[in-house]
Amino acid sequence: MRENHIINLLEERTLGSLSASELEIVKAHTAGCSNCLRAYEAAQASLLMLQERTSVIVEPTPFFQTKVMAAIREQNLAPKRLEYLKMWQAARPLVASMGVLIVMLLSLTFFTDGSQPQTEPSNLASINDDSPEWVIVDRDEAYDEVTFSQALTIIYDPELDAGGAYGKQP
Amino acid sequence: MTDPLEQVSDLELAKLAQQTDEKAFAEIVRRYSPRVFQVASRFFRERSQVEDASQETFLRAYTRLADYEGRGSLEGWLTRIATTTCLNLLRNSQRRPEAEATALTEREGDWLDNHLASVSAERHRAAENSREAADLADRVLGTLSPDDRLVLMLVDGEDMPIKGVADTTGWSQSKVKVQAFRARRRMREAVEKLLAGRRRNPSKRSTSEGGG
Repeated sequence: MRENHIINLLEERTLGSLSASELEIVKAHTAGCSNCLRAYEAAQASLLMLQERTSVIVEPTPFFQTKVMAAIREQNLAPKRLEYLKMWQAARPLVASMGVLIVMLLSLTFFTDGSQPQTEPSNLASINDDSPEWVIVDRDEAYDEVTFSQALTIIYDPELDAGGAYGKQP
Repeated sequence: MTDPLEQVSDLELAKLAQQTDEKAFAEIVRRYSPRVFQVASRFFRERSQVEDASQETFLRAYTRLADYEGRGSLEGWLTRIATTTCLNLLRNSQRRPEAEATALTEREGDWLDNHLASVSAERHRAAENSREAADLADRVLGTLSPDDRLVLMLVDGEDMPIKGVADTTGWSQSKVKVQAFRARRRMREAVEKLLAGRRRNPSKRSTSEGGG
């Protein structure tokens, strides 16, 4: 009980804040109590250590202010970079879908352009000189060279139509 | 030629800084970096650590400038931010294992031996071995929690009143008292173990300078 009292006193307050009378009580008690003496010694050493530790202060260097301001500028730039990143992340599906659409359009364009030259010659090849299609294909050229009356003559003249080059007699 | 901002009051400086005036904030850094370094020095010993913690403090202060309404002093506001920042940094770092007498450096051991030879505080001071005492303090404080360390440094080390500690830490006064009571006990027990180790083997000296 007596020991606890002294130890509690050491823990309740800073050793330096104990009054002279309290210190006398502590010293009188520790003279006959080894446990409390050890606690008192440790408390004294602790207080000295803490006081010495508190006196150790690191001073700022002359460049510290510049360093902090540079860090602040960097920090100010960081949110902008983040905004760009967020914007890109939001726009990525849209950009991707647009890309797919462009690829589809391009492939369709090339597919159609590539298929037409293949089909046209084959269709043309199936047309012989006797077929009416040939006349239709070559119609513009014929109209350029033949007048209306000449055309009627060609159509209704059986001799001229013997080869069947300009269609059959109705 | 002196900077005109040097004549500006703290409140005006804070207002200018709130309007994203970089020069005003640079002046705040110049004015209060010694104070912030002093706070960080309670927690860290290495210059690089103190500097990093101080820089972190000013970065936080910059992002929270809008919160400063000028009710209290700018110094008090920065001190609170510095304390919280350092406390968080210390909490995130790993705690050191228990301090042992065998892990002490020669000078630290000598300091404890001197203490055992004489418990007179005056004689310790006259011995001019404060560096060893500070090293030992760091060693012992490193085994305690960051909260214990803070309260011991402020209350016992700096003789700061309980109200002042409560203002700085944001804790209630009763919490400060309880924390100080428990921290003192833990520190005393740790030092008692060290002293007991020296008593058992006073001639034992560790050759590992810098401790383990």
